[in-house]
Amino acid sequence: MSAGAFCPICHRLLATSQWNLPDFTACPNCQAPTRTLVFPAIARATSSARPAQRNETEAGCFFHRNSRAENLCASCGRFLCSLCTLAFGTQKLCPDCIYRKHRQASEPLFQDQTILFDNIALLLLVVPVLCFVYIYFGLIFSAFALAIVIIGWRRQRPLVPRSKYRFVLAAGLSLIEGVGWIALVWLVVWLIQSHPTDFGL
Amino acid sequence: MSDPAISRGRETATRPIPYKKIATTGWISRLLPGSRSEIYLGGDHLLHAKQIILFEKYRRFYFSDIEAISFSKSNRWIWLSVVWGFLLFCSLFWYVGHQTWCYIVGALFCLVFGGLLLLNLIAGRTYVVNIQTAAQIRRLRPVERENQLIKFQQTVVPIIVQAQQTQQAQQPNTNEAAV
Repeated sequence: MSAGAFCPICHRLLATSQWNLPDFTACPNCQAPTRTLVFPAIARATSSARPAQRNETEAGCFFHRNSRAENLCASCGRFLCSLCTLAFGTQKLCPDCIYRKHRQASEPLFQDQTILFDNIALLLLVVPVLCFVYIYFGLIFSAFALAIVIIGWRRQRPLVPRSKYRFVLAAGLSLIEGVGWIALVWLVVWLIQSHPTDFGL
Repeated sequence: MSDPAISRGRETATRPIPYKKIATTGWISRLLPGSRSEIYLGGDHLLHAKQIILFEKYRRFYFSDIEAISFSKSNRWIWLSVVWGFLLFCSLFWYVGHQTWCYIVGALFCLVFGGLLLLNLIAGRTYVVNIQTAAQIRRLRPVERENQLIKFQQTVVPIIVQAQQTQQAQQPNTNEAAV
C-alpha cells in the first residue's frame, strides 16, 4: 500500500479521515483548506511481494530462473515473474524493453521530451535584434535559423498536436532579416562611398 | 514472435497516440518561459506537457495508476486582483495631464489592466492541484482555476474510477511503473 495522500501546499501526509470528503477540510499541518480524491490504486500491493517459486513443470522467469513466469513481455515475448513485470497502462513489459524503448525516439509511449526546433529558430531571429547583435551577425543568425527550420520541419515530432505556423513564421522572418541585413550593409557601404568626408575618410 | 497478442502490443507502441487537449494554462503563461503547460487525454492515460522554452517535457499518468488528486484553495487570485487593481488605479494618473494624448494613453492602460482584472475575476478562485501515482506527485497548473478544475474532475474522475474497477476485476498483481 502507498504511503497515503499528501497536502498540495505543505506536502505532508493527510489523515485517511480526510479522504474523499464532499467538502474542504483543513490540512492538519498547514491548515490550508484541502480536498482529496483517493482512488483504489492507493491500496494496491507494491513490488514488496515476493514472486512465487516455480515447480518443475512450470515455466520460469527469464531473469529469475527459480520464479514462476506469470506474464509475457508485450514487446520481446520473454516470460516474466511478478517482480519483472512492469505495467505501462495496458501493456506489460520487461525492464530490458523499457530501457531499450526509452532510448528510441520513435516510441511515442516512452517519449518524455521533444526539441522544439520552431522555438529555437524564432529565438535565433528575435534575440539578436533585441540585443543589437543583429547589426554585426544578422546574416549568420538568419542562415542558422533557416537551416533549423529546414532540419526541424521533419525532425520535430511532438507527442501532442502542434501547428507548423511557427516554422512558416521563422522562415519568413529569417528571409526578411537576411535580406534586411544585406540591404543595411549595402546602404552603409553606399553612404560611405558617396559621402566619404562625412565619415572622416 | 508469432503470438498475435505480442504483435498487437508492438503495433500499439509504435503508432502515434491521438491526444485530446482538456486543459491549458492561460495566455499570459505563453509570454513567460517555462510556465506554459497543457493536459491531454490519451486512450489509457493523462499526458501533462510542459513547455520549457526549447523543449517540451511529457509526464504520463495512467488511469489505472492514479492514486489521488488533491487540491487546496490558494489566495493567488486575490493577490493577482490586488496587483491588476493597483495598476488600473495607477493608470488613472494619466488623466492628471490635461492633454489629448494623455487621455488616449490612459485609456489604453485602463483597458489593459481593467481587462486583466476582469478576466482574473471571471476565471474564478485559484487552487493548487496535485496528481499522485506510486511513482510521482505532480502539480497540474492548467487546472488551477475553479472552472477548469470542475471540468477536469467531471472528465477525468469517472474514467479513473472505471479504469481501476476494470483492472481490479481483471488482475491486480503487477508492479507499477511510470515514465
